Amino acid sequence: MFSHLRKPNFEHFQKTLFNKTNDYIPLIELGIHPDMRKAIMGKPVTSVKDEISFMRSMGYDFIKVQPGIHLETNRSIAKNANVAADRSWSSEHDGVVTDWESFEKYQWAKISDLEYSRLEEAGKLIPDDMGIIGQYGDIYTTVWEMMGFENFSMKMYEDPELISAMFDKIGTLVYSMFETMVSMDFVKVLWYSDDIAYSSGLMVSPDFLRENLFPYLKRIGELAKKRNIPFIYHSDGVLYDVMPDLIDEIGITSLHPVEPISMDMAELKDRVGDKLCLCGGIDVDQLCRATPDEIKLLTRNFIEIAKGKGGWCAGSSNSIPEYVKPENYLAMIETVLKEGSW
Amino acid sequence: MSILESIKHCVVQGHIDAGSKFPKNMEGQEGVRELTRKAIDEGVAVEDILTQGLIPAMTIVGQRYENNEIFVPEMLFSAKAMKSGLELIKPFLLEGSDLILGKVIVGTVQGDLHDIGKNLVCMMLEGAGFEIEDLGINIPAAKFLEAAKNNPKALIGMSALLTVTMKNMKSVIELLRSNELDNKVFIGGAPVTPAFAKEIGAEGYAKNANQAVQEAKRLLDIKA
Repeated sequence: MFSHLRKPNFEHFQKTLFNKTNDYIPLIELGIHPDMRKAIMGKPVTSVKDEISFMRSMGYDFIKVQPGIHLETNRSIAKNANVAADRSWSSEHDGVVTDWESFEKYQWAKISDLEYSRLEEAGKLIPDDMGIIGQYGDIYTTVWEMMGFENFSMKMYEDPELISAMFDKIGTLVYSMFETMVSMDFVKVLWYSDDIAYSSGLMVSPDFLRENLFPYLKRIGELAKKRNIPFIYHSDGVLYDVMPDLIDEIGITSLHPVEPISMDMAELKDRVGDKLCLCGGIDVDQLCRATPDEIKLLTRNFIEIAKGKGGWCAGSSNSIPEYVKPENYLAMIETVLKEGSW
Repeated sequence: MSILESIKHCVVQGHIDAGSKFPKNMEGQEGVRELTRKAIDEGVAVEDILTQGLIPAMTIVGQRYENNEIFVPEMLFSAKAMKSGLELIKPFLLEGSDLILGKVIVGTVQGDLHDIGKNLVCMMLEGAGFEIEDLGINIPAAKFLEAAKNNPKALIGMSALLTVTMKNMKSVIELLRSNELDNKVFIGGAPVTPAFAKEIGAEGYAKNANQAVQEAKRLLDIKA
């Protein structure tokens, strides 16, 4: 598919996530929609074996696997004639846990409900030159989705004990996932994703995050540090106000997805490029609406920023949804493979 | 502190009423609701409550939000505090009063269920003195058209959080124009840019709720 396709080199990818390479740019994505995979491969990509072969053929060094869990968060479905898939989003007013009564009644998932069979299968099938990223996240997002954003906001001040109990429930489950994943030798990168910011700033105060969310992230960071494996953090939005927390306290090694509408890659590289590997950055909006030639140019500009410095894994500024133009996604990858080495 | 200054202070602080636990240092103290009622009882003109208490307070709140001094939860408390005062003075405001800056029809476009941002925009616009018709989320173009037909002078504010759904903003504008409606349109949402607004023929763009107020005033030629 690509004239300059590289043989995977997971060790190099890992080193890049530690900000310790300076020769070529690896590829990264948090998610690639099943419809996009199908459009590219001409058949559904479902099994772990299919996943490995898809990622390999696209130039990636890894596959990313999550544990299985289900938490009810009161999602609604939007039917949309203009897109292939209906989309769901949590109610931003009402939640499934709104007070202590609903908290007590809620059927909480238990640590023993967590499911790792896909990870175990991946561990058996992954070839030597590729690696597995263990990924989960959303402690903060799940709490507000379960409570509804308005109610969550009110309860932050009216009933902080309830908020704390919610973080404890979800945080304990999610930490347990990372604890299990890090115990699997074949998991060689941890990736925690949780959106905490808008393009104009944080959703809630840094102090709230420090008190309620960051202690869990710090513990996950310690797991990664103990194994000496990279720790990627994903959040949309402007993160400058908590950057010292993320780097110095939590110990992330890599930051994803660097949305251009929120943080400029060149500026970020100047400010924290010596401490972090940056991941992503190619505008999803452009991937949806531009031409392949425009995407090549955009990708080239990013390559220029990283050239001679390293510390960048190339990818979209969020993920590859089904509505990205496949030819643009392929143009981005092709440009990185062809021109992203020096 | 005069009663109007107290109302303003309580809105800025987000203190709704004596029963409200926010902010902690004002717990048990009179809030916007009690102070507004008191002001009305004392014969303070409702126009003054609005223009010297509630509206300037929300201007400060908007600025603080934009400067990242406060965040969405604190802004929600201020908006709710403002609303608790507004509800009390509304019956005294004459319909068509020039204190109402104009009407804004707001909605999240079809296919999109996000509404935190839209709701903040509604609250800030209402706090600035606009009348709001909130159509809700996942709103088809035909519903925007119907609302515009009923309110030919109203501004239309559209929100979208996804690249795939922001395309539906264009359909709304096309439908309005093909029906010869010239309601001015302004748009916002995470993926939306001024360039996109221009491309689809929207007259305005706002990056956040505070800027939505400035933009609505600009589009209606109202002095900031």
